[in-house]
Amino acid sequence: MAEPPLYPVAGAAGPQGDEDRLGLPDGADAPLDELVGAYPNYNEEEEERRYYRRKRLGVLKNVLAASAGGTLTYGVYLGLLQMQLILHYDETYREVKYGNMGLPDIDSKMLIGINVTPIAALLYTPVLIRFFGTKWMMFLGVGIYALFVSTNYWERYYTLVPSAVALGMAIVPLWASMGNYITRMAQKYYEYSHYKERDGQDPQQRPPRGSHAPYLLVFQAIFYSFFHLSFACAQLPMVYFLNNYLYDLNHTLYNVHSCGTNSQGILSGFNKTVLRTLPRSRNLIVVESVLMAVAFVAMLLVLGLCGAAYRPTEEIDLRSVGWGNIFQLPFKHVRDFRLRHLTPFFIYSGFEVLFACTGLALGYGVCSIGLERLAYLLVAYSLGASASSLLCLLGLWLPRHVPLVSGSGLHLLLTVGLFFWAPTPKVLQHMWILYVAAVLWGVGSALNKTGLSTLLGILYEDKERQDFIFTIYHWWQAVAIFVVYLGSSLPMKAKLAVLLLTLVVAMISYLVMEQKLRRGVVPRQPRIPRPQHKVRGYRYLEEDNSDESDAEGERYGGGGGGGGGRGDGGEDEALLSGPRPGPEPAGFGRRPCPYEQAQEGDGPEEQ
Amino acid sequence: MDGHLLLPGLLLFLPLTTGWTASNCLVTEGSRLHLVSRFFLCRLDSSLPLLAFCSGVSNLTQALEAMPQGIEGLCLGGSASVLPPDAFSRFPGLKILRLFLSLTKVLPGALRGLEQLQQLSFTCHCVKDFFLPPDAFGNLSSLQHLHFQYPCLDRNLSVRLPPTLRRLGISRSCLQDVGKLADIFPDLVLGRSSGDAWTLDVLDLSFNRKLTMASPGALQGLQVGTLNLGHTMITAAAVKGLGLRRLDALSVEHTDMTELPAEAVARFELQELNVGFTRIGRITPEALASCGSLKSLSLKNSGLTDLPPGFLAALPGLQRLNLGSNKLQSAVLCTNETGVVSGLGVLDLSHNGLQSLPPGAFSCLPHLQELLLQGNQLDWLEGQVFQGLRRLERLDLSYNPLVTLGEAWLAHLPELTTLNLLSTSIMLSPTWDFWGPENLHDLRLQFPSGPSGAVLSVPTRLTSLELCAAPGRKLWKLASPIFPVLQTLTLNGWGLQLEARNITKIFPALRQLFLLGNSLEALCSQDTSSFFLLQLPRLQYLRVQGDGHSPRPCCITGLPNLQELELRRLQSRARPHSVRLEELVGELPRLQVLRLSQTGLETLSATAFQGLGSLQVLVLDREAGIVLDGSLQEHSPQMPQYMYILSSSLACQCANAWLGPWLKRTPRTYVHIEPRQLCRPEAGGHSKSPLFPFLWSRCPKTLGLELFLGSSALLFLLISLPFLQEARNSWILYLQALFRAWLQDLRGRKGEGKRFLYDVFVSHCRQDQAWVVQELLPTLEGSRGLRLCLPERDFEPGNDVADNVAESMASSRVTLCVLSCQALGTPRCCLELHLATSLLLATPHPPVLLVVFLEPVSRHQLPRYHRLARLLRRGDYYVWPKEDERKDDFWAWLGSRLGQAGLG
Repeated sequence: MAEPPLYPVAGAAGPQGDEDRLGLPDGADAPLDELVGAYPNYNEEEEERRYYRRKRLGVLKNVLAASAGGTLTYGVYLGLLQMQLILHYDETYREVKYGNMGLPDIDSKMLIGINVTPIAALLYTPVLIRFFGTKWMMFLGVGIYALFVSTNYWERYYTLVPSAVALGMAIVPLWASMGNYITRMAQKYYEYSHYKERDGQDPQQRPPRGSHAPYLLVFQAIFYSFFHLSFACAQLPMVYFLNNYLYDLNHTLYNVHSCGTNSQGILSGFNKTVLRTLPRSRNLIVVESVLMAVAFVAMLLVLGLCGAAYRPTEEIDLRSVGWGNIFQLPFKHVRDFRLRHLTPFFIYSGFEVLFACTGLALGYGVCSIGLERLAYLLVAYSLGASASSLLCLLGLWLPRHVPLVSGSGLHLLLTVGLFFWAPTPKVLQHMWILYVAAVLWGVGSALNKTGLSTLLGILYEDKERQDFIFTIYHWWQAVAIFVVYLGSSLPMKAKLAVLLLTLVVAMISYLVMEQKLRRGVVPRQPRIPRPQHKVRGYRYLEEDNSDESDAEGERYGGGGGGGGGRGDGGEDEALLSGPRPGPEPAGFGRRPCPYEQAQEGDGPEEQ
Repeated sequence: MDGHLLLPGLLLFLPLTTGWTASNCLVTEGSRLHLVSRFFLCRLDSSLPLLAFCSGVSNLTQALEAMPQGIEGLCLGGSASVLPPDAFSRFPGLKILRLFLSLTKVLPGALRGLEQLQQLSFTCHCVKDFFLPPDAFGNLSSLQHLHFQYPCLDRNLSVRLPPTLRRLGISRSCLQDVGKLADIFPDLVLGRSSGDAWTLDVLDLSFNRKLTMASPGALQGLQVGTLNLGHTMITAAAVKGLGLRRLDALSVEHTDMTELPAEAVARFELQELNVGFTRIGRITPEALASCGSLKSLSLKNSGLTDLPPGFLAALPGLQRLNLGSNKLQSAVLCTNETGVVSGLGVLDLSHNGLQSLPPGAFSCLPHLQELLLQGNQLDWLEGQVFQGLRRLERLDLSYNPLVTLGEAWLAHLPELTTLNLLSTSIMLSPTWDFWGPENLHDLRLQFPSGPSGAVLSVPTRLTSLELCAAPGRKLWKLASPIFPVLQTLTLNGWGLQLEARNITKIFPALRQLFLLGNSLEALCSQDTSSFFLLQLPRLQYLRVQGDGHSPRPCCITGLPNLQELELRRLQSRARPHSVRLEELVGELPRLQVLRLSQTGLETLSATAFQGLGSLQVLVLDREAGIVLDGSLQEHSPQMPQYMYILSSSLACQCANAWLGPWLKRTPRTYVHIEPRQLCRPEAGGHSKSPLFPFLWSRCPKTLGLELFLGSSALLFLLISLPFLQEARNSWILYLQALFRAWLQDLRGRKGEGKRFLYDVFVSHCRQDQAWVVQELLPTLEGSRGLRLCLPERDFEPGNDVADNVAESMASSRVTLCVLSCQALGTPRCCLELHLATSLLLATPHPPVLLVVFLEPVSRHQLPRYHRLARLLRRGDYYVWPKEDERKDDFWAWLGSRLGQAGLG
């Protein structure tokens, strides 16, 4: 429709106002630079270099802040949970402080809340992540962890259980968005460090496959190196506070007769009283306040120092694919053979961390050397894992399956070794074996976790689907943790057998997947639908992009990315979900998403 | 402060404590019974592991539920009147049961499940009848003792007794005839139910003040060990006719008997006779003659003035003779002429007013082992007085005005082990010595009132020594440097000069130490009040009893083997001051029992228990205003197993507030507190309220809750940030607009002219822009000179579109919505229409909203049609006519409406 101009349009050389008072030409030809007055020594290249350096530093800061926030959050949560479970385990403490409140019942409900609720996470995690955005989801998750810490001030049924359920709901979204965030940061870092190459080529063309992998590896190594420290942080309340109140092993292990591979359940025969004297309420409140303060700090870290993972336009595009599609897409990804082959590994990844905390630390550690050394054992595990997360940097030079397989091999050896080892209770001579086992298990854990997350980032470069992938990963971990929770009363041999079986299946399955990829089998990936801006966003009040200029519009209309050729591997065109909105130019797979324009840098810049 | 505000809310969740009346039971281990026996108002066997005494029981079931199951001895006192079935089935191990209830009825099966019960007694100080079902005791297969103290049992008939019964008692009842027993308990009598004669060890009929008759043959065939008829009106002669097959001992104390029941003795060949507290006065030789079978005779307080000659000769088998509290002037048991040698082993001549003892007074008693002469008027003992007592082991001469003792008076007592010389006035000379008895090991001695400050010489082989000194005297020195086997030392007053440094050497074997009177202070070091210098490594028992003048507490510490410690009356009566437990006791690692009475103890805290690692029982007696510090709660695992707070009051302070809930929960510590703890509120309040509910309602304890609420509120605020972030584009706009309207209304009409930047805000979509520019703009801006706000032209660049809309609409006098089907399909136009109607609703002086339809629009397309229809008046909307001639009407309408809005 021909529209009469309402007002003078800049750039439209109208009859009125060709020249203004300064006598400078107006419109498209106007030398705006001269008008603004450029800096005399302005070196554009240098400025650009500085600009992108700042950007890269910002990305690093994001990674460090997210890692530190995640570490503190998880450390506080784990430390508090451990402390409260030990305190609540003590009969006297329970009776004296809570009397007929039924604390064991509350604790078991709490554990149910934490362990069972994540099973439903697959249904809502992608929706939540897309609704709030990755950063805000992280913030929300950290906030819910902090809420759990807060309820421990006032331990009642109506505080602990709801907060545990909320915590269970937040586990998968938090860690999925965290993994997504780190991966995304690696991609951004790549963009910012290769801005020159991108300038040269078509901006809409994606970077070559696997180009951001080294950064991803480094970032994941940093993240997991931080994250595994959280197990050590979690022991600080034990080391500095609770250990002063614990009985020694001669009391606590008095009735414990079999340990390690011979044991059944979790610490059967463990003394019902573990506290020599009860900690004073005031001291407990002080400890909880310290934990609470750390949780707040973690929240503020995430809030203040973590930049957004996507530009606002990208965020809008991500959530504009339709909530139904977002809900379905995690399930559709099951068609991808890579994910199917990795599923045993995901499950093992959940098994092994819980085995380290319960099987190894309790069934072997506490059972033989007493509760007072639990903290040191877990610190050993944590430091080993943290240090060897950096070991994954070897993956920069080695084939990508080497760290993963070597970590699993280490676990395999350890598991087989543990299968034949039953430490004698109350005997401290073999303490060093336990510490070595804990450290080695930590090394394996770190290789496993870092390797898996890196692998997922490499296999799925598409930022539209990363959150789905990480959701699936963490959901399977949650399922594994739930299974461990269910089977906590099994004999240790059964647990080890399950662990061993899963590990072997996971390794074989993973190697088969790598083999398939090497043979060039193309995985089936569900297509991500095109964003539909029907939502009332602040930029897209109308269907058409009001910011878009004609020239741009033409370019995008014509020069869009090559449909199925784009992305990583064949898109499953036959299984398109949702109607295609609007007429599409024939021959083009889909219109480019507007956020890809935004990559040009016209949106509000994120840090 | 905040706690008080939070409390009402808190109390909605927590059940209020129902007072402190439920725990009126005192539970103790049998071996600790002596500690609380003053409050344990019933006799229980201390060999049982766990005993309980409950008073004020009105609901039996409730009281029994609170009881631990391992109870073996149980006393119940109170007003419960019926014993329901299966009342005690929870306590299968019960061995002794004493009921001090106002029972009127025992229902059948009430005592079911008590197969191990050995002793059962029913007591009632009431005037009710009492009914027993015939088979009440049917299943008590171990019952040995059964006792009734009841006004009347006479109306019960045919109550079966368990065959194991050894002892039966009926006291304080209206029993008049012994024969009635046979009606109540027919088992007792031969031939009714079983062929064999029933055997009872004891048949106790004492205190039946109406018991006068014994119908002959009433208890035919019964075999009785001891028959107790004390405090009854029955005559001993009547016993003869009861038809008992056997009787070994008879006790007729406190009866109006005037002579020995010789016939009964002779009839049954009694071995034991107790006629104490009677008015016999004089024993005739005839009566004595028939008492030859007696082995034990008690004539205590029976008004004897002398003994018949040949008394001992008439009782050849006599082994124990009690002549205490009579009026014998001389103990002439042994007359030289007879030369009879008696086998008497124990002779009690105490409190008889004996002035002197002749030489050889006990020469005919070579087997005498125990001679009690305390409380007589002896002031001088000849050397030969104890001649012939070769076997005497125990001699009690206390409470005699003895001044001098004969030379070598102990020489005749080679076997003497125990000698009591307390409360005598013996002049001890330095050279005086206890020579003679080699075996003397228990000596009680009064420091003489004569010259003092000398060296005291006592045998060194003593195992027990009690020294009593009057205050203010000079100190005696011990002659012997060492007492190698002395185990018990009692110092009443402070008469000995003991060097603290070498006390270990002097008493190396000391196990028990009693420090009575003001002796504690002397043992405390002079310069540091907190150090107890008695370093006695083997001491196991220590009792310190002050005299109420100690100015400061003395800390007892450093005794590695001390097991029991008793501190009494340490508080100064003149200047009472409160002490903390740690000021009284220090490091006593093996202490098991600590008993404090009138020490002025005020605060008990966990620090005091640090050094008392093995403490099992803590008894606080007669202490006022005790504060149990909150640190004890955390110290619960190490708290003593039993804590008795008896005759003491807790302070009405918030420091005690934790105690109420804790007492109910504490799993390891049994705490007994006087049930009626009252709290006098602030000055002016007269009524006293129960302590724990009072403290519970007054004392803040919600720091955790406050922190929880505070931190979670903060967290919720932070967590709501993502939601707000998300909501920024939708409903928050409406809220903003409403808030602005409200703010404008607050500011009133002041500066109204300046408020409006525009006259008309024109809402339209891009498709209708042609009409706006070509038709509307020239008419309104051109001819009428109004200032229009067009989104394309007047919106502030760079601002949010939605912000711009809201801003512009608010600063325009009139909002004109240009509606077409396309416009209604545009989100922005819909938003503008919503905002306009919202403003119309919200502001008190609504802006003018005009609607122009460029084409006919179905009402279904109009969002919120009904609201719009209600808000718009008839003249507020108009359809743009297609025909040119009718366009003038439109302009006329628009002009008039704008004119009405003040834009003429």
